[in-house]
Amino acid sequence: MFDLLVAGMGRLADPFVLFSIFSGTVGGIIIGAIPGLTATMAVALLIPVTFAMDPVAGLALMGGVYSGGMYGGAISSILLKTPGTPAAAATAFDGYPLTRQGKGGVAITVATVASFTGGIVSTIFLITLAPLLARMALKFGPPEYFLLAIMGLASIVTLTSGNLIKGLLSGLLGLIIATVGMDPIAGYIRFSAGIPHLYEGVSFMPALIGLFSVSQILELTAESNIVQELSIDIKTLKREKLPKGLGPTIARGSLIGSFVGMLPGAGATIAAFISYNFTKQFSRDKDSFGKGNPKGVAAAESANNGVVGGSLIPLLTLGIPGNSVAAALMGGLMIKGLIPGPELFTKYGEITYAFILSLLVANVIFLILGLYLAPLFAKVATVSNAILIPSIAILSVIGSYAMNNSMFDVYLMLFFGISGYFLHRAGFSLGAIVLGLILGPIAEQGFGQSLIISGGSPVIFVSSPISIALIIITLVLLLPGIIKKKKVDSPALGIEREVSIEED
Amino acid sequence: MKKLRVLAFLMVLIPVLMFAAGQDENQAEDNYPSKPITLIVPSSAGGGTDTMARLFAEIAKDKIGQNFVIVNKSGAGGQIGFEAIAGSTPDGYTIGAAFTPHIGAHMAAGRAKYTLDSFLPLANYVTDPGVLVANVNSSFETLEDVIIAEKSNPGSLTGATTGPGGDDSFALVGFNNAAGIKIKEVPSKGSSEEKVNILGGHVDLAFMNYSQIEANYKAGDVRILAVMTPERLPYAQEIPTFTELGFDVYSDSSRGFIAPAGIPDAAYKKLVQVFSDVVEDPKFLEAAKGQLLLNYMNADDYGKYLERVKDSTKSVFAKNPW
Repeated sequence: MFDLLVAGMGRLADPFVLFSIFSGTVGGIIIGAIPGLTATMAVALLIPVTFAMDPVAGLALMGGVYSGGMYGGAISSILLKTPGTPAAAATAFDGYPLTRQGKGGVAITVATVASFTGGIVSTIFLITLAPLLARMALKFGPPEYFLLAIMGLASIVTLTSGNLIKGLLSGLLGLIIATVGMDPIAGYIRFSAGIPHLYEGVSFMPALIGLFSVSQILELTAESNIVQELSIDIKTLKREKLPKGLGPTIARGSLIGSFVGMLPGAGATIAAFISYNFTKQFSRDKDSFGKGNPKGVAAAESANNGVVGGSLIPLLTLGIPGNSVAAALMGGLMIKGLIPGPELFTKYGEITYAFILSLLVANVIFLILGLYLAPLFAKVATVSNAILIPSIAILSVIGSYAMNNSMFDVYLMLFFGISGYFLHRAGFSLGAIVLGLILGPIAEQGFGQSLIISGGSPVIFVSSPISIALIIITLVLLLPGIIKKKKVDSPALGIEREVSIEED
Repeated sequence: MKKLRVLAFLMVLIPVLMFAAGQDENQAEDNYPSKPITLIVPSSAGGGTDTMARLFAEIAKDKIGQNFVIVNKSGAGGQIGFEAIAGSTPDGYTIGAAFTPHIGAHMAAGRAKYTLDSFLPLANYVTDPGVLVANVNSSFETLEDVIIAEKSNPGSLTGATTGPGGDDSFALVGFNNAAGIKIKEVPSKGSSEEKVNILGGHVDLAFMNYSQIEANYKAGDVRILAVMTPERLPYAQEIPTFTELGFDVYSDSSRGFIAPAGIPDAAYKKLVQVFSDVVEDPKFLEAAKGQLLLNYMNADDYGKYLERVKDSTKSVFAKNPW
């Protein structure tokens, strides 16, 4: 393996290959930052382009887009609360409040370093332990996916920092919206009102853009700038150092991202939420989350970039793509005659390792670019709302339309935006709604499949060591939140109820 | 004098206009296509149908002299895209991709706003045959093993499919009926989840398409017990067919191209020609190798094939609605 690794490194020394990685990463960052344009689309578009290219250059280009795209989503999420990718939704929880405080540059710096570490750690797992980890990931069957979804749903308790009942109701609302569309088990079409666009459920991206960015611009209309304290000189941000004490958060996020990324049924969005949840629960200062704690940004970003390397583990060893970008990437590999499987690491080892190593290079490229450009990016948030609001509105419309080229999705986005505005005003948690929307289908499918396999017996949910471990982790994450919430809700501390939920 | 000049002017102008008009008409006939052609893909970017369409577009643009613009209209198992193709202006500048059995299944379920008459078939490119897959660590080595195990303990076996209304589900029902057994269907989200379920040993069997499991089959992780084609596969001769083992189970998923009904004859002929040229192009064949199970059918054969799909999905729906 070592000599193949060295040979792979040699392939990267070609200037054209390096240029491919660079342009892929930069293109990925831009695509990732624009909501609705996704890395999946970019990789799919590149497939016919790359097939005439040298295999290493072509794959490196696509790998750059994947890495850069995952990172780029954070930028718009932090500055404008408009997640460029669904995976960056959790980044907005603390990133956007930081921007409001005039610390957008710091937030981007944190996101950059966290994304870089997540990407590097997961890629190292990919190089060293891929076949072993892939076998482990296969142990996750329907009952385990169901329990993983439940563990993710437990984050609702974490996301809600005010009224727990409203938080749980928000999650429930998300789960109810997730039941729209085809029943995954029986194929019956539910609550679609006969509209074909709803047969496969409510499209996630328009709902996310509506709930997050549209509801936000409605609120911004009352203000002149996103940044509340304009007195802060943006130029001083350049000298501002990375906040201390982020190490453990980033390390944990990178591990969670690599692990969840390996599971083909989960994905980057869930990884980010789970990592955020863990970080908040393990923090001594839980109340500062959602109000601009850099750890929140670090947790989410290290996890979603950790998914990049993680998702390539089942892809390269077993041909199982962990998410839609990986699926598109698989098309790109196969066009080069690189069929996923053991041969990829032996017979075609040189190309495969060159591709994996190119991911490391892509991470270094966005690290340098991100650190250098963070103060510049942060200036976006100081632009007057009279310019920003229409710009975000245009991006929101384009982003909703572009996913499926469908006007229906634009209306859906507007519906979610207006509803989200009022729900937020009424103290409901938009983050919890999004979580219900993402996890509902995974939980439902896992639950249904498990019961078919077990013949209706619920014992299947406690019959594997992984299941039991997941249940224990969920309980550990859940208990402190509930105990604390009781205290908050007690009449003596009634004032705290006034504190609005999550984000700001 | 003045009148004469006007007359002379008109005499010159009229033929010029007529010529120009005629030219215009000729242009529409001869110079097709004079602008880029939209190709609607009824599934999302990065999937199998999308890859096929993008590869075609890349090779075809030099042959037809115009670009193909791929527009992904996914959703409702392709129904939204099929309806968009059926409803597009039939001027030759919008065509689309189609995949079976879904194009037929939506009609069978009575949901589609199109019929086969809404389309003109252009060509079929890919046929991905259905296969029955078992984990290499299981005790199932032949179809016979599966049937014996099921009959000795009815209702004990599970089989992964991609869910109701898809070809995998039809194949499971078909096998159950042909063998008089009852394998329980575990609907999975896409072929990736099917793979996890069969490789991880969470289900006993999986009903899949050959290309989805080819890499794992060649790596020795799974066994393919039988294939659902009338003849053995030229690229995998060792796999027996269901028919030769005594069960009439046929299933596949194919991908081709269609145009809205009513496009100009000249455009139709040109498109049909381009589809047959591209599939012989060595560059296309090279790129397709290893990922597209090419099975070219010309427009006539593809039309007949779509009719058969329509009839068979209709009869499945009558017996086992989804």
